[in-house]
Amino acid sequence: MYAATRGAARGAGSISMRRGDRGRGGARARWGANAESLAVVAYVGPARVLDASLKADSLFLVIRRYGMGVAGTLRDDDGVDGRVLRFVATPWDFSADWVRRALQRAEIRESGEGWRLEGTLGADGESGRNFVLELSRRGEPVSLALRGEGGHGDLIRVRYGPERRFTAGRIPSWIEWSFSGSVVTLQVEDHAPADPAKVRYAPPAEAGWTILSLDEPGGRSLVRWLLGLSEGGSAKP
Amino acid sequence: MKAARLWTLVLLGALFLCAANVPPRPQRARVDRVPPASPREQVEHMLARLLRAPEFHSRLFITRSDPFGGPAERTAGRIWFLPGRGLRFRSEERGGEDIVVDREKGTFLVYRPSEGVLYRAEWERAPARMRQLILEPERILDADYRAVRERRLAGGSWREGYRIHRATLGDSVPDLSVWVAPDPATGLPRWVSAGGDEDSVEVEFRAITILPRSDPRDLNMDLPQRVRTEPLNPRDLLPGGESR
Repeated sequence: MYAATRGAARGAGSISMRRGDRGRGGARARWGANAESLAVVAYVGPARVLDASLKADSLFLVIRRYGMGVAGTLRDDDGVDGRVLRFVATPWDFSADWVRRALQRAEIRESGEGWRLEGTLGADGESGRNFVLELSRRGEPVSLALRGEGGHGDLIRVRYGPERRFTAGRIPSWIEWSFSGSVVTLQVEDHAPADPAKVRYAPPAEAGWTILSLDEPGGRSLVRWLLGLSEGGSAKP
Repeated sequence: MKAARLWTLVLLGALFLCAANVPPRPQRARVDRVPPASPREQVEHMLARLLRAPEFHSRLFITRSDPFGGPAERTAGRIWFLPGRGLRFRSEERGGEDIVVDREKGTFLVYRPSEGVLYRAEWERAPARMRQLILEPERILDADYRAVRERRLAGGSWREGYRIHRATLGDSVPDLSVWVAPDPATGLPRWVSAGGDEDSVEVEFRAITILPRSDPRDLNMDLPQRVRTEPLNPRDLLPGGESR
């Protein structure tokens, strides 16, 4: 079911984020997804504070509060290209062909009350991040781990909450991402079919915005800061 | 801090968009006895009582559209505005923020109940547009604008209001459409909407109260006894200039 072909969808939910000992925060999020692309808008109270979008390998992100953002092409030399990032951002959606192929190639064995799939999740299907996906006996995702370079340690770990029925189908009621000392939890409140034309990937640029290139150190620092990653962390934008 | 941009837009739209360079004149005579003629004058007429008040406060209902086509979200809060002195917004949502900018105390405070933290910064760290709004409410924008009568659906009914076009709003205010409509009972601004096709915000000022004299105590936060104070450094972690 999670790998079934999907049309464009939109969603809404609340996000909470813990950054180790550096405090916590929360926001509301709305997103629109269509095929390999994803657009996310975050709000704090009624204020729209962040826009982020991923269209294939093209990333655009602006923190409206600061009038500052980053844009550029994600390189795949880490095995984390746009498609991997798209999958990690909506990890309930296994419908992309390359994800399904990765699952079909994975080594499967029984694990506790369910199943454990191990394989490689990469853009070209051969190279990329090693992953471990735990499924319940009913085939629902329980956890997903993307391994770090060389297969050591977890680059990012995803936990899935119990399934809930939404207009656009059944997906986990919550998702928790853990990476580099940060824990982000999304409580899904709405998941519904969307008009693909409504899924816009870049807001109109506003005067005074500073958009850094992803190739610049400042651009990468901005993404790291936003994600709560340390400079020496293993995850790279 | 977090809601600064929205409040700037809302207040720009509701109160000050058309107020720049309004010449001083006896408010009573203007407001009560001389019926304004042009839409622009009617907008000025609507706003003048707020612009020149020592203080006003109001309940707010904010409806924010979903850029992806989902249902809009509505939040509630309360605002206090003391021209020349400060501004406070307190969300009525669970865990919502309380934000105060106070020129006299030289502070910019954000209290987040969900974290139990009071974030404190100097006045100078408050968004520049918010500071300008407080310091120079009548001069924040140039007066190069037009007001056009327009009927819109607001608060469940069709309302007579004004769409405001401007040539210049300053170098960092986005190109947005602002519409404002008065409360028929009071003549004060009640419905304000800003935005475009992709995203819009509608604000209802419900029960605006104009005070005969300002009460700076309205800028005091209701903080619990045990609250942690931390510095608020909006841009310290990023390359760039001051808060905008």
